[in-house]
Amino acid sequence: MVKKHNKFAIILFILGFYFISLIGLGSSAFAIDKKVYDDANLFSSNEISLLEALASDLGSERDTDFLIVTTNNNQDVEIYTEDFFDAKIKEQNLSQWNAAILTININTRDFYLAGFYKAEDYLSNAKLDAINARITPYLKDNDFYGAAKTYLELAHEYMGTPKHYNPDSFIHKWWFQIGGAALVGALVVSAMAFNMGGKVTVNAQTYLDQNTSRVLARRDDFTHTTVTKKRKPKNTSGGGGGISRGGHSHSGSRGSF
Amino acid sequence: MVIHYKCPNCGDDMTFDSESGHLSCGACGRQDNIETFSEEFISTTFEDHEAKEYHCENCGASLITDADTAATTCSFCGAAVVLAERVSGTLAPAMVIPFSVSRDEAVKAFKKWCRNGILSPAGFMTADRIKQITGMYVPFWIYDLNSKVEVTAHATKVKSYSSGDYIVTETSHFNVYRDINLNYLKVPVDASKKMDDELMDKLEPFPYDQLKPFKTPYLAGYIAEKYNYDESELLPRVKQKIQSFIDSYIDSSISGYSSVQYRNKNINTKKVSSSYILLPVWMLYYDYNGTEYVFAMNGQTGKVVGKPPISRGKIFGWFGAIAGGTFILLKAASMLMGGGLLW
Repeated sequence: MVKKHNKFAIILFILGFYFISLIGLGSSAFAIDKKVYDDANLFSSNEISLLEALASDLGSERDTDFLIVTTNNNQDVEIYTEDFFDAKIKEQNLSQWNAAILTININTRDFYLAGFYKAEDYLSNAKLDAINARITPYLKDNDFYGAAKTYLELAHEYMGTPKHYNPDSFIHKWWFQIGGAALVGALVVSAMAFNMGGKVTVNAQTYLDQNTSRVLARRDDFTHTTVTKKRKPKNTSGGGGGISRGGHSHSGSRGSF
Repeated sequence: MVIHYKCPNCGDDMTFDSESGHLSCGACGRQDNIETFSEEFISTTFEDHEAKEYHCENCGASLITDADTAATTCSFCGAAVVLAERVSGTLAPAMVIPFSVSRDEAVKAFKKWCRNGILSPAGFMTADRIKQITGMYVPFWIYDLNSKVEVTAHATKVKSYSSGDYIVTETSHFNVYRDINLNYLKVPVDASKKMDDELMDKLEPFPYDQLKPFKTPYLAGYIAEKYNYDESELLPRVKQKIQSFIDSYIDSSISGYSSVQYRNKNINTKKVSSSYILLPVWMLYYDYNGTEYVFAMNGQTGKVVGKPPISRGKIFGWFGAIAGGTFILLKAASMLMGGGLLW
């Protein structure tokens, strides 16, 4: 019964999600022809054509351009990504462009993941952080093709999930679901077993004579005040993203290898 | 001395009837009001700590009772017997709450209770193996207690606000003093060595509005025990019983603070008065799988206490069902937040 109800809720949710994404489509655009910009020559020509094909396939399903950019300059990888986006959006003469970008700087051995417009919403910082964690091992092994392929697949997958889905949240972990269920089961059953022999049904009021029991005297003397100051912790949520010089806001996740 | 209650009509043995609250004759149906029934025994003390032989005045058979029995039935002729010296003098109860749950009602209520034992084996839930059921007046001391409480505590109020780049926490410190007077009335403690204290505590509360001045006819047809511990021996136990009540009263009197640390708790509990009373308890002995389980039922409210056998299969069944259901709920919550079915 409960299960059925939940399934129904999930179906409704997915339907609603599709309608919202259709509405969101109206004002923005995607589909640039070239997806891989391999300035640092990290991929073979065969790899580039494979990635191009995969990126167009997966990107068209999400109305988003999944781009892969490599560079070997000295510029900060985040600023480079923003400038790249600014240049490309201008080139296409668009006001809004749905794009997700993986930028790898082989010189500084940094990389940056960014999501613009629809990809900013559906590839939140949390999702980009999850992609970051999964591609870092490939990059450390200098398997750039593996990293790029994994990025494309995960970006595609996560863009199909609700905006605020956090792939790394404990709620989605098997250990939490199984452990939590076992804990609740154990607590409820032990409470049942404990209560089997009859409960104590007297409380502090049962034998108290309300008429004659009272507080005879009370004193609450203020002595002093102590004050502690703590610097506010830096706001971490959304810290991964930013706004490009061209004024386009984006989500982001930075890493190095 | 042995007391029998003979029916003034037909001479048969009378017993206490829990439904009418009267002394009733099983043969001719005559009922006599206990309040007005003539008091037949003399209040003299025969202190007696040994098993003793009495003679049933009905049939002449000898009644061997253990040292604590105050009322019983003759095992030969079945006549209700009250042993006068075990309920007189210093052993005379001041009050008694008579039974209002009859034997049949007790069995019925027990069976109903067993059916609700969701963790008990199926064979136990039918409750068809009651070995013995005994209506017993259990000796209790009830205490009126006065507690003088003085506490000093250090309490704080914490206020937090942000100012610029900082979070400022202001803690105000207070010295708190309370002088409390508490009266607890009629706190019961069972005075029988044979009775399990935990079981008896769980039987509470007894309806004190049903307390009647003690008359021996109430015991006719039941088992009664005399007390093993006197009121001063049980005083520490009753003090310990109200300890948590006092603590919760103190806690409730110090409110509005973020934290309270007690510096000094001075609790002085004194006995104001105590009385010896008899309370009605049905004792049920039940055989299951070669083990005897003991249950007690409040003879007024019908509340049942005692540990029933536990079925391992049912424990696992319930655990599986609850854990499985929770798992599905967690999974559903995860899926609603975008998680997949398999990761």
